[in-house]
Amino acid sequence: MHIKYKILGLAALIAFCSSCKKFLDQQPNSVATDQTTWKSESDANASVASCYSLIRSAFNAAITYYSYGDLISDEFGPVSGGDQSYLDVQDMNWGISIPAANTNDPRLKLRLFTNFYTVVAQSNRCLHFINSMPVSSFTGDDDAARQSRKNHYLGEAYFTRAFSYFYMARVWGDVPLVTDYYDDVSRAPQLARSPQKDVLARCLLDLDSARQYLDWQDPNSSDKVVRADKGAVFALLAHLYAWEGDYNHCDNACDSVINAPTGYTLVDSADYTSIYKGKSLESIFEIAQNAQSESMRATDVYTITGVTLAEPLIHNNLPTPAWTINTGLYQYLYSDTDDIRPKLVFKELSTGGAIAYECIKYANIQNVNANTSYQIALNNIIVFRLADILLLKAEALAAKPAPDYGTALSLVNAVRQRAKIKTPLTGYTGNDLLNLITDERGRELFLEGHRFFDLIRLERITGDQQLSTISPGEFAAGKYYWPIDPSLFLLNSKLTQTGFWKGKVH
Amino acid sequence: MRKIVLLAMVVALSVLSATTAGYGQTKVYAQGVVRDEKGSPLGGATVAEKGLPNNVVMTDSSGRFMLVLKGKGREVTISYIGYEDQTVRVIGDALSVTLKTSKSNMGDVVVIGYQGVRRRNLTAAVSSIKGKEIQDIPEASFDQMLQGRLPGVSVLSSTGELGAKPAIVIRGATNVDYGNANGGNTGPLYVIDGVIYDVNTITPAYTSYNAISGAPTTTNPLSLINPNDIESIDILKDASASAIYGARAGNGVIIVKTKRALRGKPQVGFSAYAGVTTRPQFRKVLTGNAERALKLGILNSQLPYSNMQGNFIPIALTDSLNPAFNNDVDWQGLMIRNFALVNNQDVSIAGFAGSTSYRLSLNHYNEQGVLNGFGIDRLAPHLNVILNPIKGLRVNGDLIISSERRNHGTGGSSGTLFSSWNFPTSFVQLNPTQSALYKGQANPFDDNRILAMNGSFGVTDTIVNNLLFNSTYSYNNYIDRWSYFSPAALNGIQNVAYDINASNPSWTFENYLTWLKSFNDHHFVLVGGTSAYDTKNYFSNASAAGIAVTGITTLQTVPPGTNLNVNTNRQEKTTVSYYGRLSYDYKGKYLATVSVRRDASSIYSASYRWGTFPAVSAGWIASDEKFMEPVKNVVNFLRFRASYGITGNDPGSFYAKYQSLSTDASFLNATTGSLINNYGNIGIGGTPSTYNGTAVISPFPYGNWVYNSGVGASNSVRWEKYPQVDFGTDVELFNSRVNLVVDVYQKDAKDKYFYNIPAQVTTGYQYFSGNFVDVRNQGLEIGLNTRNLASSSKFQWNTSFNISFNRNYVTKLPNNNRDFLFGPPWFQQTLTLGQPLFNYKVWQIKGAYPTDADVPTDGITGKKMTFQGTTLGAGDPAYVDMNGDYNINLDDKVIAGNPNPKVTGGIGNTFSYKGISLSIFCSFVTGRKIFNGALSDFLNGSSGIYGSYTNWGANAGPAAISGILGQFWTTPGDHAPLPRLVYPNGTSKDPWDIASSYFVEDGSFLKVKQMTLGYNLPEKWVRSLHMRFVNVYGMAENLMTWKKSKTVPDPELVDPTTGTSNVVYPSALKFTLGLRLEL
Repeated sequence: MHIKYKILGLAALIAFCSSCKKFLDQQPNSVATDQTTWKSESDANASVASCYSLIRSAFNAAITYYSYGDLISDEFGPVSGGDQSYLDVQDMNWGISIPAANTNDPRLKLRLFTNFYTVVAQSNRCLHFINSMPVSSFTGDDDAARQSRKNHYLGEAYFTRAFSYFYMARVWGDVPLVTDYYDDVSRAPQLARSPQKDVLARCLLDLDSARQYLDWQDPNSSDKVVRADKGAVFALLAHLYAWEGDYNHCDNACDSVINAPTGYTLVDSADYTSIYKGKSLESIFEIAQNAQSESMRATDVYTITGVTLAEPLIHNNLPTPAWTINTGLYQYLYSDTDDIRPKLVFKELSTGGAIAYECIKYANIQNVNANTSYQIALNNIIVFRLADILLLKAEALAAKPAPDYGTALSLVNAVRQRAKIKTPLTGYTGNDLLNLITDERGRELFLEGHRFFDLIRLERITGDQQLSTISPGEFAAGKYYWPIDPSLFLLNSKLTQTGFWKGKVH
Repeated sequence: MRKIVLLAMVVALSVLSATTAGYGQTKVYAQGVVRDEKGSPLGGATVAEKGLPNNVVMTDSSGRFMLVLKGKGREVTISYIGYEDQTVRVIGDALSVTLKTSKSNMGDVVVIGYQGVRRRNLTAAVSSIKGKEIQDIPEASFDQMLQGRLPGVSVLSSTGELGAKPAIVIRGATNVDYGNANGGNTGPLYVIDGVIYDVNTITPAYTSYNAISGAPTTTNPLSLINPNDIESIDILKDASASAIYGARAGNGVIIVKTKRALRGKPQVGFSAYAGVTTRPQFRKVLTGNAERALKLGILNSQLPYSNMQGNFIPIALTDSLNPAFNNDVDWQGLMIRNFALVNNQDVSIAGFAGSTSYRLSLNHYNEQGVLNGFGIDRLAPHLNVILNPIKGLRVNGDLIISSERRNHGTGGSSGTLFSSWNFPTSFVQLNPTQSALYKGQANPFDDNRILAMNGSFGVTDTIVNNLLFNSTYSYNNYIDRWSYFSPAALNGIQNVAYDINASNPSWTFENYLTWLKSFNDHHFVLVGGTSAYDTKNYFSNASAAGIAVTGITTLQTVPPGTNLNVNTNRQEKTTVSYYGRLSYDYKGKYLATVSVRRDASSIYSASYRWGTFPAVSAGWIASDEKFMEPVKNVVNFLRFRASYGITGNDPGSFYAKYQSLSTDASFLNATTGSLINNYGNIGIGGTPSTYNGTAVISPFPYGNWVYNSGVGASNSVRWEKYPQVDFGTDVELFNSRVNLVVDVYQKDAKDKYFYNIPAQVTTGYQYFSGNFVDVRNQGLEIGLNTRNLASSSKFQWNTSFNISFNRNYVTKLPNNNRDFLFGPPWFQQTLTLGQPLFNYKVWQIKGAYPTDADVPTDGITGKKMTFQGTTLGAGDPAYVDMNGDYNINLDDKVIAGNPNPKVTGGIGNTFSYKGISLSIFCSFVTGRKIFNGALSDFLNGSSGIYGSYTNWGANAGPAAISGILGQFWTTPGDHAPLPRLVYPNGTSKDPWDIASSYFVEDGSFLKVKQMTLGYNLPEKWVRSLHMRFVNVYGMAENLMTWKKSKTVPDPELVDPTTGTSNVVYPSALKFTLGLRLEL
């Protein structure tokens, strides 16, 4: 009896152990994880969508898109409200000491490239995981169709990676280059900054892949222009080549956009302000944030509406916005009385004496629960649009080794014509024409994240000082590249300060 | 797995038929009667043959026994809990044994996991408390009653809200999870009658949040257990005792033994108490005209003319004739019940029917909250049956159920009115509906139902004489459903209905063998077994906003869309374990124990799954040595103990090895366009989860202001290990009149799982997680119990005192021991090598500058001191410039203490004379610093900074802090401790940042926790009533508090890691009258 009992007991124990392994494997089913997701096309879609939402986070972290592109150009008078830190940004006091703990200081945020690397990391993750997904996971009638769906997502990830690197290269110059997915974050290496030309070369490689994998715009798609297509790839290429000064290639890339089979057309003058709500006919690439469920608090001083609008457009009790337009530049740019743009997207403010202007491109404001105390802003971030590419092509034609001034002028005139300016411009050549094109870009693309980079390109070609904050000597030393925040050195000893800013960041 | 359980149960049951064989030897009988000193027969006493401890019988209800002796010794030892052992020689005749009441507690049985041990034979540090000592305290769960009772056990509540879970920390804090943002998992392991009830894995439906740090306090699942059902509580503190529970014992183990039937007459008991919770101390608030006069007076004297002239002064202050602003409401009176009732009834019946014993008890507990609308009502039956169907076989069935109804006012303690930030003014006109809602009288729907249960079924079989097999299957669940309706009149936005469901089933299957062996003076006990454990959380949360139909208070009538929200969550973890323990003693005075447990958890990947948790300990009862004989009258017991062992702890997340992905697609100032009420501040909120309508997934949620707050998972995540060494001694002097226990320990927490290690920026993650932090606690514990008067005295006075000293510091941090900062910029704490956990970082402030000239000037630049760039002036805080750069920024913050108490303890005195007894118990805590979050919040929300005196028409502002108004700077030349209250409109100075030394206060306190005056009715009266025992008493709880901090109402109530006090729900003084009967 006892022996029988012991045997039974032992048998129970053994049976118990042999089942351990399976018993101890528990998978999550209420939270997505890398190990359990990445199985279907919608997983790939959600992951790639995240690349764009992360660009959106980066562009909004400190009014970032407009701080880099517009605030530090000549578009605004001295920052006079909201967060006064932006005055340092505007005056290029970029080396000012900010405690690393002061994480909500815009001066700190604008020195950190962290958010752009999050986009890069998510793109790298998408490339890694989507590549390893079998073609059968994707939808399509046959393998070729499924492969094309898979390639489409890979193409988008290549685009978002290239976009981030290009943007970082324009802001910081040399930046660390990482194109791998890290399985173990704790073992990620410390990376030095790669030369800008290497970074841009990598962008070109990525964009070449993206170009092959992506289609032209599908006008019926709800995702048109807010997610990458072939048009966005060529627009990015055009900007990249222009930044590198490779205007022959820039010209070709612009042509690809202008001659796109599913064409882009300039929005009619009457609908001009619709451009800024988003998804207009001339839009090529933009960042979506114009749905109520993806909107911004309109009156917060860390939003583009909060700093550029005043009463009564938004309910912030301010007679003038924190960032008022540089009156001198405004009057210079919009001297033509026929030009509809100052009437449509600017507003003159009465301040009881001095003239002030506000830019109302981003003024699609909605009240929540019909209460003016709660307002949200519904404007996309317009990154590339046809007018921009037309003028970029004009710049390329004027600046390339074998210039074509006539065609360049006709492109400028096309943009001016849409603005209802009656007299076409004629007879400009050389640097005069380049200055004229940059002025037109300034008029057309005011507060669209381009002006600062336009002025840098112009000064590179003409050698004439464009910004009061950068002397010719400082320009040569590369002051326009941002310093990186010293807190980034703590974990990465291989990282070095941006050339001009060495020893100037405290 | 379920199959395995069934199979094993079948195996276990198949042995029911196995009877132990008889022994055909010459029979020698020991028989007789056992009585107590009064001559009453003692049923249930143990009679064991000396040298053969397994040859044992129990006395029957008339005290009789008969034992067949098997050895040659012919001696039996008779023992009974609470009495001294007696060994008698068997000489033919029937024995008559009288047991003496024990003066020492060394005879008590202490449960140390799969085994009960006499306290005398313990080699581990175990603190115990009898159920009697905490019975009838008017609280819903027993853990709240342990404050100050036991050395090394710190019990601190973070809110006075009834039924909330207190933080229990045994031997120092090891929690590195700031604000418990990742689940913490810091509480001890509870074992109830051998069944593990892992409170750490339970997710209740109702949670309240600290108004400042957001740290959660959940409903306490321990309200499952009726405190009056508890026989004893044993707390396993050192690794030697707790390592048998291995990976879950890192935070200590609390073993609860509930009452069982005693032999003899059936025991029928009834007890009841009822009482009131009195009104807490109110804040002194000026109302009506006094409020208006005060505010206008301040503004007139403090503001420049331009501000007075502009439309900045709220109309409610200037227009005293408008009836809408002409009210006089003391809000505190609205919120609080003057007399909240508490009452409790217990009935129990227990006894033996033959060899079967049973105990049934039923408890009803009802408490009203001091805040209107809060309450608990519990009905808790407990059933225990022990059968002995066949000799050698014992079957045990146990079921504890607690059915509770709770109320949480108007959506919990985070409801509108309890916020310091915008404490309402007395001017506001309330309509009757609002008034009724605020009073908690009209909330149409607030329904929180809890069903907690713990059931077990076990068999113990004697396989052979000294080998026992035990198999127990147990199941527990905590089902919590909270549905409520938040009307627009309260939340300020719209009608919202909520429905939150949580269910936490778990089961454990334990199988173990116990082998007892003795030869000569060597005694061995070997325990070995296996266990399987599975726990799940099911959680669902649904809400519907914008209900427009009156009468509907659940989720109805709202069309699908953004106003209708639901999400569900399920998670599961499993553990498999093997364990063994060998206890040995030689002559009962040289003691040693070795134990080991191996645990495997589903949380970890296969290569890190198994953890081994060994322990060794030894004890020496020196008082048994010959050389101690001469001093035996003074030192009647002396033991030395030493132990070393390793216990473990799980990281909070069930799926830590997986890289989880988030659907957060937000960005700075992002919103989904919905209105949210956040502590009374209505704003546009919501977290976008889509990009152009497509749901996103990535490991990078945009959680704060700068970075995407992604945390990289570690696929090498593994058990945290807690090696601990302990030296202790137990001394009893003067025939056990003085009883002293002293322990010193060093407890390391190694490989603490840490969520916040900064990652390389190029990985995209802000942090990665892993087992990277070590924390050490060193301490000394002293427990002293004395009977101050001779036992012959009619007047008796007993004192129990305990005190624990603990030193807590970080011994290892990742990234070359770099400091870690936590919290938002205005509220930071650090982990620093060699320093206690979560030091506060604040600006040192020495009052306010009396005049502009007093502001220091930089000798080089000639510029005045600035605060983050803004020049300081008269009335501004006089910050100490630590780095001498004449600018105050975050680098000038200094360490200003931490929330970990250095000293905790308690003192109790009981006086008795004849049937009258008076006991007073006090607990104390000192050596901790706390943040006065309530005041900081109040000043931030209601003071005059950034011109927010414009809110003084809606908020109470200075009217609610009239007690400290004299401390603010008002006119040049004032040497004031606090800066100016009112700044001109548009000033960007913030003197009320919580990171200021004037908000850090001493958190020391001494509380009179309980005072009880009782009377046992004289025996002859009781007998004439046909009863055994009648006791009447009156009790006061939280009678008095002495504290160092003047402004914090109750320094106990702070959040354990962030140290912030913002009492939204005060603790309360209770008085009860009670009656206890035994038939």
